[in-house]
Amino acid sequence: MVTIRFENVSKRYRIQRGHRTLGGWLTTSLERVLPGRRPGPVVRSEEFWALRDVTFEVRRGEAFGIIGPNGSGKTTTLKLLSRITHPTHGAVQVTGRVGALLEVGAGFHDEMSGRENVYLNAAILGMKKGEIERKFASIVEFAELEQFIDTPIKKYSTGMRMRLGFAVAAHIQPDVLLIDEVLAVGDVSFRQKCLRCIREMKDAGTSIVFVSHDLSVVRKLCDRALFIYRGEAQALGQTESVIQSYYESLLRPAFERMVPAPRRVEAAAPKEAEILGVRFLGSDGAERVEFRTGENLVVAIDYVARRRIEEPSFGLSFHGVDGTLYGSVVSALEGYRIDVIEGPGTMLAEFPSLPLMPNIFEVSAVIADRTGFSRYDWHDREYRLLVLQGRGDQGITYLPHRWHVNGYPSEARATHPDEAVDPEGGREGKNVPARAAER
Amino acid sequence: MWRHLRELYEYREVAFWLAVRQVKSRYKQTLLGGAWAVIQPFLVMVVFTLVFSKMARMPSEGVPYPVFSYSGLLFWMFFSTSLTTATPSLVSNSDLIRKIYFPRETLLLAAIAAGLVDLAIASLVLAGMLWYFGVFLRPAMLLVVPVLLLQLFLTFGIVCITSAVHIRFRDVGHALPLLVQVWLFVSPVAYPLSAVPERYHLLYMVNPFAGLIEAYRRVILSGALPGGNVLAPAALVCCATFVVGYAVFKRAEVGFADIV
Repeated sequence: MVTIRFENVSKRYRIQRGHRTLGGWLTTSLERVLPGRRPGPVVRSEEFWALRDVTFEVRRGEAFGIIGPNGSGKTTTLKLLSRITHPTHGAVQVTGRVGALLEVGAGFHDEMSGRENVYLNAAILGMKKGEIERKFASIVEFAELEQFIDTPIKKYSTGMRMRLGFAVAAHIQPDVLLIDEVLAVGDVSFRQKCLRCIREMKDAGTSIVFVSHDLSVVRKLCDRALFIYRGEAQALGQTESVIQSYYESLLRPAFERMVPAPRRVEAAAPKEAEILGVRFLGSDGAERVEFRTGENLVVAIDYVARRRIEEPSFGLSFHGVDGTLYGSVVSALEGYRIDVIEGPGTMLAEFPSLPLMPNIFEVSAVIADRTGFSRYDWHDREYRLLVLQGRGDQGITYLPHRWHVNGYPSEARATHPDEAVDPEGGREGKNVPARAAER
Repeated sequence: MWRHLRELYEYREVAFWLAVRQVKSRYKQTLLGGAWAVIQPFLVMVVFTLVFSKMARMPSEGVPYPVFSYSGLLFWMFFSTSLTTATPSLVSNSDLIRKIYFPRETLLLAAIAAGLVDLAIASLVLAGMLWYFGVFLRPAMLLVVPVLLLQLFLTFGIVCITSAVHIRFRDVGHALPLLVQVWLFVSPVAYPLSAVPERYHLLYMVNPFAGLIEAYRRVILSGALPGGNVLAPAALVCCATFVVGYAVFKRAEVGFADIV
C-alpha cells in the first residue's frame, strides 16, 4: 500500500526585495507613478525553485531516505509532506497520521516544565489527552528524563530536549514519520536507541521518510532513497546505488574544482635526488586520477638521482582534504631494501586492491635516506587522487578479501576477479617491480 | 468552513496548551503576577472616575460611576489585549509555523483564551465592587455569557484578518494600538450610550462594540438583556466578522509558512 505519493511536485519561493512594509510598498509604487521621477529601485521578486518536478512514492513499512547537499530541497520536501507548506505545482498525498520531527523540540516552550511540554508537543503532533496520559510514563522513560520532568525546559541541555522531542514523536504511532537530521544531536547510545525505535516502527508498518547527511545511517535504515540536487531529482532507487551516485556527483565536481597545489620554488642548489613527478596508473598501465575502491592502483614516482645514493627509501602518503592521514608507507621502514639509485628512474608502488573508500585524496611522495627520516626531496600533498565507490563495500576502509566455498581450493584462486591483474606480472618498473608483491 | 471548524475541534487541545503557555509566559518574572490583570482595568477606572465623573460630570445612568466604568472597562480590556496579543502571535510563533503543521488559528485562540483568564480575575473585583455599592449578584447575570460569546466571535474575526495581514506587513503592529485607542472613545465605555445624541445612534451602533458594552451593562447592572435594536445589529456584525475573518484567514493560511 502506498502511503505517500509525491507527484511532479514543484515548489517556488519568492524572495522579495524592496518593500516589506506597507509604507515601503506605497513609496515604491508612488515613485513609479509620479512623472518626472526616475523609477526607484524596482520592486522585484526573485523566484527560487526549491523543488522542480520531483516524483516518488513510499509504501507502507518502507524507509525512504532523502539525501543531497545543503539547500537542495530536502527540508522543503518534508515540509510539503507534513502540510506545513503547499506545492506550487503537482500533488502531495499522504495517507494516515503524520508525525514530523523537523527540528529538535520544535514548539517546546522554555517557561513550561518538561511535563507540560510533553502535553503541548503531543497535542500538536495530534495526540489526544487520554492517549498522552496513557503513554506519558513510557515517553519519560524513553527520554530518560524521569528526574527532570517537572523542571522548566529552559534548564534542559540540547541533548535532553532532543531526547524528549524524539520520545514524544516516537509515541504518537504515526502512519508516516518524517525525520529531518535531528538524531545528530543525541549521544551515541541514544542515537542507537532512536534508530532501534525507528526500525521497530518501520517493522510495525510505519512509512519513514528520513533526511540525513549521515549516509551510513541512511544506508542502514533506508530501503530506497532519493538524491536531490538544487531541487531536482538526480537519482531514485535502491539506497546503495543512490548513495553511490550522490558520492560521485559530490566528489567529482569538488575534485575538478580543486586548484593544483602550488609548486615550491626550486632550491638554488640542485638536489642530490629529486622527484620529477608522480603518476597514478591503472591495471592497464594507463595514467588516470580516478580509481574505484578495490581496484588495482600503481603509483609511479619519477625521479632523478644526481649522484649515486645507496640504500635510499621511497615513501607515499594519502591525506584526506580535511588533513586526515589515511595511510603512509615508507619502503625502508618496511625492511624493503633498495641497493642503489643513480640517474633518472621510476619507482612503482602497487596497491593491489585499493583499500581507500570514496573520497578525494592528496598524495605526497618522498625520497629519503635509509632511515626514512632525512629527506632528499619531498612533494607534500601535491597530487590528487579521486576514489569512487567500487562494489557494495561499506565502512571507513575496504577490507581486501576473498570468499571460498567449502574450504580453500587452490584452483579457485585464479578465477577470482581480484586475480585478474597478476601482482607478480612484469611492470615497467626500473628498480623494483612492486613492493606489495615482496611482502 | 465546516471542514476547518472540524479540524479545529480535533486540535482543541493544542489551543488549550498554547493558552497555558501564553498565561505562563505573560506574567513570568513579574513581582505581582496575575494581579496585573486587576491593576490595569482598576487604575484606568480610577482615572476615568477622576476625569469623567469628578471633572466632566459624566452621567452614569444612576449607577456609581466606578462600577459603571469598570463594568465596561473589564470587557474592553479583554477586547484590546486580545487584539494586541493575538495579532502578532503568528509572527512570534514563527518557529512553530515553519516546523509543525497544525491549524494556525489555534495560536489566535490561545492568545484570546489567555486574555479570558485575566478577564476572570478582573471579574472577581467587579463582583466585589458590585457588592460594595449594593448591587447583588443575580442569576440573570449569567446572560453575560451569550454576550461574551458574541464578543469572542468579533475578536476572533478581527484578529484573523489583522494577524494574516501582520504576517506580511508589520505595519499592522504599529497601527493597531492607535486603532484600539480610537475605538475606545467611540465605544460607550467611559460614558453611557444615552450621552450620544439620538440622531447619531444609527451611525454609532455600526460599531459592534457599542452594542456589546451596552448589553453587558444592562445585564450586570439591571439583570436584563437590552432590546433588539441595541443587540441585534451588534450580533449581526459580530457573526459576520467571524465568518468573513475566518474564511480570509483560512485562505491566507497556506502561505504562512513561506512568508513568516
